[in-house]
Amino acid sequence: MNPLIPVKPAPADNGAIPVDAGIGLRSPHIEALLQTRPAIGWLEVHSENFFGNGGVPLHYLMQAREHYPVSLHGVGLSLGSTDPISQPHLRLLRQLIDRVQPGLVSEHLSWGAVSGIHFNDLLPLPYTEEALDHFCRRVDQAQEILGWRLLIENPSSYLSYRHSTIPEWEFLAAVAERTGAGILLDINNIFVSAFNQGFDAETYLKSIPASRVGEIHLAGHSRKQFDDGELLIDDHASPVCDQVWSLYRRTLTWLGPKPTLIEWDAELPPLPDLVDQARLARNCLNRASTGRRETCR
Amino acid sequence: MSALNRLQRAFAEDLWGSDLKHLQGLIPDGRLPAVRLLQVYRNNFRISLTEALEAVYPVMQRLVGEDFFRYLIDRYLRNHPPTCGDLTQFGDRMAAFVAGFQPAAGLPYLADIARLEWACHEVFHAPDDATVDLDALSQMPAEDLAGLRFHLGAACRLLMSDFPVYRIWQSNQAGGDEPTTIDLDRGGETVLVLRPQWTVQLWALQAPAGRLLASLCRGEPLGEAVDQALMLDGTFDLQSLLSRYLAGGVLIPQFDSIPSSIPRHLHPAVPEGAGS
Repeated sequence: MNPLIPVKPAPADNGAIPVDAGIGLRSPHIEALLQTRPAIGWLEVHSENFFGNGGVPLHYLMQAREHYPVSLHGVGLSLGSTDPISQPHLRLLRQLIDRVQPGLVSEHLSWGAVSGIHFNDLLPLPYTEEALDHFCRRVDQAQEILGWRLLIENPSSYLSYRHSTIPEWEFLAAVAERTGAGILLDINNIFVSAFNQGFDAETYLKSIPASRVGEIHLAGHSRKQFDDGELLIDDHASPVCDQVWSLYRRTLTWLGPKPTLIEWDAELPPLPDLVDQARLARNCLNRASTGRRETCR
Repeated sequence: MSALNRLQRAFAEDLWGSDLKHLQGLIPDGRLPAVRLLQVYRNNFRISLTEALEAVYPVMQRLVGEDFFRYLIDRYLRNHPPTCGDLTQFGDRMAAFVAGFQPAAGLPYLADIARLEWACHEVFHAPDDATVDLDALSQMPAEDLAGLRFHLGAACRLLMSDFPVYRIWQSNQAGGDEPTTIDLDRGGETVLVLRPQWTVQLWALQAPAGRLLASLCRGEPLGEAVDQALMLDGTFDLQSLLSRYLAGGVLIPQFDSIPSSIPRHLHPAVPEGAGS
């Protein structure tokens, strides 16, 4: 146990996600988390990992929930699919919501299944009027069945479609406007997609309606050099890079402070390293809320 | 069919690598040519699902080696791709698939290892059972106990194999000992998978214990199951074994399986206050 990390007392709250920094909780960290109870504001987990009707994962999640507010982040609902929306999936998510009493529930602006086959990925949608109508109908459906307002996250992407007619930021804002859903703004994804597709990240961020943003994601990416070019790969396998921190700080000046999550999914560091990243985000949030503009690292 | 549906079907064809032409026409070159951008998604799809199965079948992977495992997963994926957004069920047909997978025919025990690893996965995710009322059980008359039937706890699996699967599993744990030689002709093993204190454990059962559980799982009453176990070894201490299984939630009594002579308070269907 790291003696430098203060132990957080059990919250007497209603499970709401505070305007503070949280971490994405992955199973290798759960034991250390429960033992050390680091001073972070909240946790986020991938909903599908806890769809079992009991079992070991849920057992530990419910223990963690006694000490932290939890956000449920879905990766498998495939909101953008043209397949019928999965009623069993929504039932399981609903059951998890009832158990965990999360502060936020989120999903992605993407699709992942067609003709009954799931590809376990967040695949890009074309940004057309047809896709917008379709996606909004699906968000309406999901929100109605879940009885919960979703946050929709912008994906990272490596390609665009010739027939897209709407910039992603307008598409995302339109989804929020039409469905009442909130926005989960992933700054790293915007940075990655902006580089890969050659758009301006600031234009994107400045077009997002601040009042709709319920959460921010930060994560690491890698730069991959090929013989025929270079791509940023959204692998969540490293600390948040300086440029993304900088973009995050500027975003906070435009949007105001928002609950912010550090995601780290591959090549996991020890838990204290993840907590350190969250502390950096918390510093930025503190400075954003007091209006101080000096550097926060 | 909508344009969006056509696009998604074309994307799927591309992910499977079966039609690379159609989708590429819809995607402008970016920092890399379109065909290479799509390669990122083809890789993600394969790698993420391979990793999901590596997490469930680490011993199998160790037994066949990384390259062969990747080949096997590729074939498995084409035959049994995920059909829902919750990956917990993905990989459920591995044992049957391996049993019919010709390139692995030289490893006749591989399918049972797959069954064992899937059993561990299921036990990890299985729901929790209600606690057994041990007091009620201890008050039952002997003749009623003999007629009592049991089922395995929800978080338990019993696996009988013609191969020494426990020894194979044990000697192929990550960070385990140096490889050992296991004599396949030394006979099979029966393994109980369970999760006391939220940790999945494997118990290699002695023959009478295996016989006892196998009989009970087939639905035989306790008396008959005990007789069969004692036929293998008349000195075996079944009493303490049974206590251990009951306390550990391995065996769940089916109180409604005994004749009507049982005390009413033992019957779970009796409304509160109506019994003894």
